[in-house]
This record gives sequence, structure tokens and C-alpha cells, in this order.
Amino acid sequence: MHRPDLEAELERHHRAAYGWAMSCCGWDRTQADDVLQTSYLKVLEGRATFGGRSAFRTWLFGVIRRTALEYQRRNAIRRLLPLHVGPGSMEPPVSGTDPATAVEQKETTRRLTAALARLSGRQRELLHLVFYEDMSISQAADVLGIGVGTARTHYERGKRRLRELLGGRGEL
Amino acid sequence: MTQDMNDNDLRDRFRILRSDVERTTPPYRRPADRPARVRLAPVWVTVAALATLVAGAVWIATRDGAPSPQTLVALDATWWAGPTDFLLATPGIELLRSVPTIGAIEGAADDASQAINDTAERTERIRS
Repeated sequence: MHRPDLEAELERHHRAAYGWAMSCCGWDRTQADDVLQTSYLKVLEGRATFGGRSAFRTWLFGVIRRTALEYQRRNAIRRLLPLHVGPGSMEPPVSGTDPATAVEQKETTRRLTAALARLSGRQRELLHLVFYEDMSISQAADVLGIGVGTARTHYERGKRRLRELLGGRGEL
Repeated sequence: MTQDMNDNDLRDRFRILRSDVERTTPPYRRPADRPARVRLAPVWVTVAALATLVAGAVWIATRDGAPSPQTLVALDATWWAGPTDFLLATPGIELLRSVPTIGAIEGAADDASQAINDTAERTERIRS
């Protein structure tokens, strides 16, 4: 693919890619920005080459995931510092016109991100790809580079655990 | 799909999360449009460069071979005679420096006279 085509594809998938980067970075906006920029650079500079073996979005999500892992490894020491902003640090967005609804949605979002943070990495990634990105389990397995059977197992266990966490009181 | 129907509670929660995230998602910008960051050399490059420098320094310090022409010292050129050396050239000095041997008495007088002559010649040579 040529650079203009790549840029068009990146722009088309930007919103979904941003959500995925946020998930990979524990909802840390600054990290997600950095990871996404680095991933885009990798794609545009040819350091990550799209081979056409899967959908562009699936491939792009794989690049973002690897970049996020590299980023986190590099910043492992920094993450141990007490000033680290952990999962659920996403700024409360300004939602709808109705303040009550906005507060309710904000609480829902906070609880969900907090519950997701307590899942294993694989479970969290699978649930995000399936429920947030509307991918099939097979597509999600492609992004993560694992078999469909394994993905399904993580998916089922993740769902069960997520429901338990969301159903509990005062835990999150 | 039954599975999907059962998961509607989770889907709803993720839908809310998604709408919140998308509302605050910054627009796409070309990476080239963003301020370039200073990219430091990877750690392994720095380590490799340091290792090469250290190895080179060790090799130079410990190599064992023929000395270079610059390090050769011409010993002849280092001989130096003080201006008052001739005062030490006293007559019969050779007799004092030599060790007498038993059975060589007969020729001792000849040797002594020869030594005196040698000393006298040497003194003259130094004076001149």
C-alpha cells in the first residue's frame, strides 16, 4: 500500500484505534496518544508492513497492541512510582444534556473500566475487541495472535468474571 | 443469536463506554504534523559502542609485539661523559679494578706498566 492509501485507512479507523489504544494503555490518555502516534509512524514509515493476510483493522490493532506492550516495558519503572495514574483514570467526559444521565453514565464507565482492570490481560483484550469494537471472536483471536479455541475460553471466563465484578457492591 | 441476547447487559455498558471515549477522541492528525521528538539511540547501540571502546583500549594496552621504531632507544646516543671525568682516570686504576689471579705473578709487572701506559694515553685523549 502506498502512503496516501495507508493514511486514508488510518484516518478511517482512527476512532476505533483510539479506543483500542486506550484499552491497551489502561485508559491512560497520554499513554494512548503516544502509543497511537508511534503505531501510525510505524505504519507510515514501513516499519510495520500490511501483508493483506487479514483485514486492515485487525492488522492495525495488532500493531497498536505490540506498540503498547513495548511502551509499557520501557516505562515499567515509571509505572512503579506512586504518581502513576492507574486504570480508570480517564477524565469524566462531558456527556448528554441531562446531568442525571451524565452522572449515571460516568459512573457506569468508571465501574466498567475498574472491573476490566481487574481481569487478566487476555480476558480484558478479548472483551474489549468483541464488545467495544464489535469484532467476532475469530477476528479478536487474529489481533491477539492466539487460536480461536483459546480466545473463546478467555472470552467466556472473562465475561463471567466481569459480571461477578460488576454485580458486587462496593468493590469497584 | 442467543449468546448475543444474553450479553446485552455487557454490550450496553460497553456502548456507553464507547460513546464516552469517542466523544473525547482527538481528530486524526498525520504523525508528521506533530512535533518531532528527540529520538535517543537504543540502549543496545550505546552498550555496543562502549564495549567496542573498552575492547579497543584493552587491546592497545595489552598487545605484545615488536616495539615500534619510535620506541627504540639508541643506547649509543645516551652515553654522556661529564667534563670532569678525566679526574677519575688516575694512574693505575686498572690495577684497582682487576682481580689478581694466583700464578700470574710473573707477568704482573708487565701488565702494570702496560696499564699505566694505557691510563696515561686515555688521560691525554680525554684532555684533548
